[in-house]
Amino acid sequence: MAVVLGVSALYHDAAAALVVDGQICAAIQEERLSRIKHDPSMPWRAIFACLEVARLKPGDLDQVVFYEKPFVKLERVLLSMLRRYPRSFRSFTQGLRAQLQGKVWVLDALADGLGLPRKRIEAVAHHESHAASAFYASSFERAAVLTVDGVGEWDTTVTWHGDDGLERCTSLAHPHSLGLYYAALTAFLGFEVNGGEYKMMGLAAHGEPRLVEPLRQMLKLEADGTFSLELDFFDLTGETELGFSPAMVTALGLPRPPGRAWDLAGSEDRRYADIAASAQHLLEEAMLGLARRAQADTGERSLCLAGGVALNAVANARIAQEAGFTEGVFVQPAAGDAGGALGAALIGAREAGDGRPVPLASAALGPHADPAEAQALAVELGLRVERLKGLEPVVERLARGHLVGWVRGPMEFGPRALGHRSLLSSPFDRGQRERINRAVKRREPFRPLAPSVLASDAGRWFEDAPNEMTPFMTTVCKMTDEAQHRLGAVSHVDGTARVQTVGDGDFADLLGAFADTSGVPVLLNTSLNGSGEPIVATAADAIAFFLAHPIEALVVEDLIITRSVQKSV
Amino acid sequence: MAGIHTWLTALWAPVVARRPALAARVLGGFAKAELGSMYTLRWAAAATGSMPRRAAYLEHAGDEARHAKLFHRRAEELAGPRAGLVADAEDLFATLGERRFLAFLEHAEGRGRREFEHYARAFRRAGDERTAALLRGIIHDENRHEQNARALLEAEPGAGRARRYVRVWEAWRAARRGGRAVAEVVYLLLMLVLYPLIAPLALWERRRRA
Repeated sequence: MAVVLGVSALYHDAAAALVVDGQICAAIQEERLSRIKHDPSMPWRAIFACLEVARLKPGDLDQVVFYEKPFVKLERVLLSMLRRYPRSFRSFTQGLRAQLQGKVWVLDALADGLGLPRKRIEAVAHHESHAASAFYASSFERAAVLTVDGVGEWDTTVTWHGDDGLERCTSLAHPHSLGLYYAALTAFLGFEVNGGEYKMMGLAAHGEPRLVEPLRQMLKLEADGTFSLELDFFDLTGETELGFSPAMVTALGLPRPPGRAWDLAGSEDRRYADIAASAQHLLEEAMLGLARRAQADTGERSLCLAGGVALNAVANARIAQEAGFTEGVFVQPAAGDAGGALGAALIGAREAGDGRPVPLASAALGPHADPAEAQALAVELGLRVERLKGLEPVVERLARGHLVGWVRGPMEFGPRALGHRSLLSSPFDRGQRERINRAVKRREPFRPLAPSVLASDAGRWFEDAPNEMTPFMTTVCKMTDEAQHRLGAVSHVDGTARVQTVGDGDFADLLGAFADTSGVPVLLNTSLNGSGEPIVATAADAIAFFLAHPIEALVVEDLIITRSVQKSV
Repeated sequence: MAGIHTWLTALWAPVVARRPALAARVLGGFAKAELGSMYTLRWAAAATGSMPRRAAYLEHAGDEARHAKLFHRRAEELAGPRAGLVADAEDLFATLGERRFLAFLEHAEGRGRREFEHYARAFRRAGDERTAALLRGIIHDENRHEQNARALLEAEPGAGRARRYVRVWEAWRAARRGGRAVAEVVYLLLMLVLYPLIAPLALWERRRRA
């Protein structure tokens, strides 16, 4: 019986997670509270918010577990520099500074910051944290586990056998990494690394995979499911990230300048869409090979996936359909580095003798928004506040094509808004998607928007739904013909959608009420955040979002907030 | 210190206004500064115990976010696409406490407004009316922010003491920034010496792998 805090930090997407007596109590990303997107800094705000959720103090912590081993990582950074000598001066100066300024002292910093003895702080391996976050939170008693990301300490890809514990089977080491392969292509297409990968995945559906062969020279897939990168095509000057080299430019043509407006009707941008489609196709092949390898290593019929690459919902769907895991595939909602905090905490709890937690049914693991704060702020700012007596006012607005911010219950953990910090809209009119992409999110017009559907009716609208992944939006499903015909705002160009199935709770009630009016238990559900901002966390964040964006209404718990004079937007 | 800064800006702004690439860099710097201010104000909003001040900080933060996007977009118009907007920020509310934070806000908004006024004049004289108009719009907001901060500060006891403290603290912070810049140079020089010294290790690692 232990109180264990897990922490991930100092690369990207820092987070904290709290496990009490083996059960997951809270998990929060630092970016939500600091308001800095992908904030990598030590997650003090998230740590103290987790403790507040559980009404605990730092002194109550039996153990704090950091999600990777700092000195093993330092070894990899130093050896990588030596191997690239004498072309590593820039990464030597920058990497050494980053390591010495904080990364190697992180365990001491945690002890100091929490006022705990140093012996209560420990570190576990990066990929083990990922594996634990997926397997222990899943409903499977036994499973193959596959962790795939850019890089941890040395590992980039590991297969595990999850049973009573986690047994390591096969591994691949830096620099051979699917995460770094995808990151290099993301950079080639002019998107930001560690954030733009979703854009490349969305763009892929607009292209044809006709450039797979040149990419096969860069990413070599082996018959045993493993792979290697042909390093001549990648630029190894960064500390941990591979950019692309002139050889990649020779093979694929000029890279796309960042920030230029997209024109997918033009031949130049169609070529970039084809590159995205080809890169995505090859990634899916690689992931399928690894999944089959994990099955061969373990003989299991269920699979858990984690690591940044496991956030590729399209690849996850192919694994679920084609890799032969008959009992299902599970991807926990914060599969990237943030989820490492959860895995680290779960490992600590297991070491302390606690059992596995109740399977993760919801990603709502953060703090609530305070409606009293929302009301007071709205009044100060001259907004109109009314108390909701039922869901009719919300449904009526959605049916009229209004955009409604929906802030109810605990904040989600992971990159997806799952009905607690969401921007909702009617799913029918394709124009709604254009409006959200252009006026609210200010992002590329090709980006799809996701639907949420009542789990009980999901099969009518989305093939293979519900499944283990759909509650967390970590997979895509083919839309039925009726859905493609009627749900224009949430239908991607390839006829798929990254659907969320909703079983119960307030959000299910809203979907049900919307179905009573429209006949369809589906809403467009995108995250409640503006361009370059993290998803809102508090009532104040929600009000700030409402002030800055052209949406018609904001629901915070049982309040509905509108503008005093309804503006035409 | 603020006087020297303004004087240097007056000298530098006409040079910047005539060179689009340089102007884009300066506007990109403004975008980062505004984004950093947005974070600082959001943290202040989260920390203050007063609901009216929380509302004021949130509104102010919203303006700063908008300014950051406007500067970033104009920089891209002048010199092509730029990398995504990221900025560092300090939690000045936690460092200074609310009264001194308000004094800092008043001081920083005034300094920003004076700087932008020099640039607005310089861009207009250089014939870039669009950038000048952008700056004038933002000066209007900065002026309002300065007045709001002053009103909030003067509603508190000890406003004068807070202003004096902030002036000294700002000078100390500028000196520390200078020290950090010197430390950067020293670090780089050390690395220039150290890097050739690790050549035998690199050779050893290459042999070990072979």
